[in-house]
Amino acid sequence: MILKAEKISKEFPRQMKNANRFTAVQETDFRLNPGELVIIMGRSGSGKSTLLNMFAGLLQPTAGKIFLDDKSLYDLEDQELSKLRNQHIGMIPQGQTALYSLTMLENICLPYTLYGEEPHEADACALLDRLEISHLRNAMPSELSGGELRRMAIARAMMKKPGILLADEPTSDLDDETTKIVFSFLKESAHNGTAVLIVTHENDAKNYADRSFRMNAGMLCQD
Amino acid sequence: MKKTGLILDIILFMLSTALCFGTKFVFHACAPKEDGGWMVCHWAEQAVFGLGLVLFFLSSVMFAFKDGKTKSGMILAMEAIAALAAILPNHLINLCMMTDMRCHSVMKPAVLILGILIMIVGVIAIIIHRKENDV
Amino acid sequence: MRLSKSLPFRNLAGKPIRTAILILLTALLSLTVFGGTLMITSLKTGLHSLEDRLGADIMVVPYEATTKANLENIVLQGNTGYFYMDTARLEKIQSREGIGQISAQFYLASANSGCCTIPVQIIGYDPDTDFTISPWIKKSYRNTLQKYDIVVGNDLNAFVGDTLKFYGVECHVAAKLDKTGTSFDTTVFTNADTIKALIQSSLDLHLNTFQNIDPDKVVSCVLINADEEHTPEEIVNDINLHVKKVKAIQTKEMISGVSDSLAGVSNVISILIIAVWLLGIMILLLAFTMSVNERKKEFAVLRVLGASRKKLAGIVMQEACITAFSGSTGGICIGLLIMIPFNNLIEEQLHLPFLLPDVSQLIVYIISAVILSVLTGMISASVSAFRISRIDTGLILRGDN
Repeated sequence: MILKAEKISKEFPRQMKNANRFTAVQETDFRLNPGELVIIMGRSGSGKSTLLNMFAGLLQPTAGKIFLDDKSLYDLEDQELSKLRNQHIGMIPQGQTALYSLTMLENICLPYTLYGEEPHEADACALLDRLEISHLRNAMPSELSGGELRRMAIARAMMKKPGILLADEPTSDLDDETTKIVFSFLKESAHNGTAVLIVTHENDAKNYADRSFRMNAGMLCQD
Repeated sequence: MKKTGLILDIILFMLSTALCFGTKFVFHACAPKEDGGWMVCHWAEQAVFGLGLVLFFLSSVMFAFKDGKTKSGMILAMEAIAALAAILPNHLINLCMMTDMRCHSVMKPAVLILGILIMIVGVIAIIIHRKENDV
Repeated sequence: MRLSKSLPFRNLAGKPIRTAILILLTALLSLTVFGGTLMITSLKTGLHSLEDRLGADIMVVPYEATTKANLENIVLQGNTGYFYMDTARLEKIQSREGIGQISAQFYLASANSGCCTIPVQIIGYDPDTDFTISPWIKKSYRNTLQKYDIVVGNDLNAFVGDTLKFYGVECHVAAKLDKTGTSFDTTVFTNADTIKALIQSSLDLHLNTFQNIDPDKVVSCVLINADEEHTPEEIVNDINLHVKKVKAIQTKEMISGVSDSLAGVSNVISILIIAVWLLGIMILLLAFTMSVNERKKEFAVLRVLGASRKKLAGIVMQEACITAFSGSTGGICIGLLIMIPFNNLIEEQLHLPFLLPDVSQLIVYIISAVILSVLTGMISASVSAFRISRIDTGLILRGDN
């Protein structure tokens, strides 16, 4: 699947010195191809997460269009867009994102169960094995460490083998060893044909990237 | 599961205590006659009190046992006794002449409700205790 | 593993204390509305039943009865007592103008009903002229009562075929009446022949407070229905003016005290229902808002995983529906457990006629109370559901970094 952004920008209403609008993302074009791993780096508040949320169909750009293959995301109804996100876009949000009343395995199967579909438990177990957390499948989120929860979120995002994988700081506050496990897994997913976009602070991420970008005050530039 | 089982045991103990001593002191049958003699309902009250004492004994002794199966057995016995207590007033032993008298309007319904509650909680407790054993 | 269906369940199970509080709250709501409505209805049914049972426009009693063994206490409060007047007075009353139907009744209280020291009120009627008791007895007993046959009120612990002894006379229970929720439930009814024999026996045993009466020449009270040309008020005035040593009372006036207290009790209950309901809605509103706010991030995650706005709202509404349904069912069960077994106690405490509605009506109340509680729960939750369907996912997920 190809994710394509045409002349997108995002402004938020906010009281500024000269204007009452704040530009989070300046007009930009972007293309994410299948099988490649792209990273976007930049300081906090530079607009990386806003960009990612726009790509995920969660935040409508002020101008421009975003296409998934040939479908313009924001021309779809909310229900259609949600279903599309469920099927084709895997997202690893920032921070701890488990549902605390469900076990790890149930959390991972959520993309299926949310739509009343029977989850492929074998796939889930394979993912857990690959991320080295299969022994925790029946644990509750409150019993897990930050690294384990993050790996759970990655497994959950990959559960439906999405065409696009968007990761927002997937390795923040993880130790070096876990960071390595995570990046090599993401790289492997790209190898298998997924288009992977990672927003990160981690300089090591460049070693895994096919292309890398830098975001500076809402401007996206190729590194 | 253990915690749920313990909570249910405590509830059973409380209900049994209520049935036993409540029948005697709170929702007791009619007061004695002016000449000091008892009305028929007194004997129903005494019988319920007796059954209540057995329930009280079983439910307190149960805390001394850890095994789920033993507990289930004891609760099973309590089920039968509670059922007997529930139907005792007016069905097995006659109460007073008028149903608006205390033995009918207070003791009978209170004993019936407590008996039924013990039976319901008992069934749940048996299920939980048997599960405890499976684990 | 149909988790999508059980996700609201799992959310609720994951927070047992919060869920228990929500369930308890809805239980309280449904208990108040169900218990309160049932109470008001039972009181109203009781009053209608009392009106039906009195069945006459006017009661005439010996003048002493209005002070000493108060007639109203016997009829309305279930106290026992008896008083007599000469049959000559009955004849005088009969001769007055405007009388449609007229029948005499005979009262007696048992000294000992055979088991307990509580005396039982015995009312005898004249089968030839009676128009108040016979139609009611006919519902339970089609044959004519023979001598020493009695019909017992529903609250008496005696059954058809039993034998009860009054003043040494054995009487046979021919029928048991349906419940009326009034003092008539503890009354024994019999025909004039039987009660005259009982009165005679009480006199023979020196257990009657009256000593020099001839059972064949006395009656206790006279019941009258006005004919079409006269109002009960006219007849009451006429009798009170022209017949000595008697007092005529309009039954409507007798009941007015009861209906006044009933209106008072009903008002208190209605206000209570409204107050609890308003308070409950406010607490529920707050509880749902808190519960959803606390899990904003979880909802944002569901959105990321592909839940539509509608689906998020659906989850909140389903949670509300489950808690409200289980709560209201619980509340109604508690209500039934209190109201049905203890209805005699309630009647006794209120000193008002109290008759539970029949099963079909009860089912209607149960269903209405459940629907009302579930609706209230869902309306309270709909504010939160709407808000959660509008969440800014990006903003919430960024929140903790």
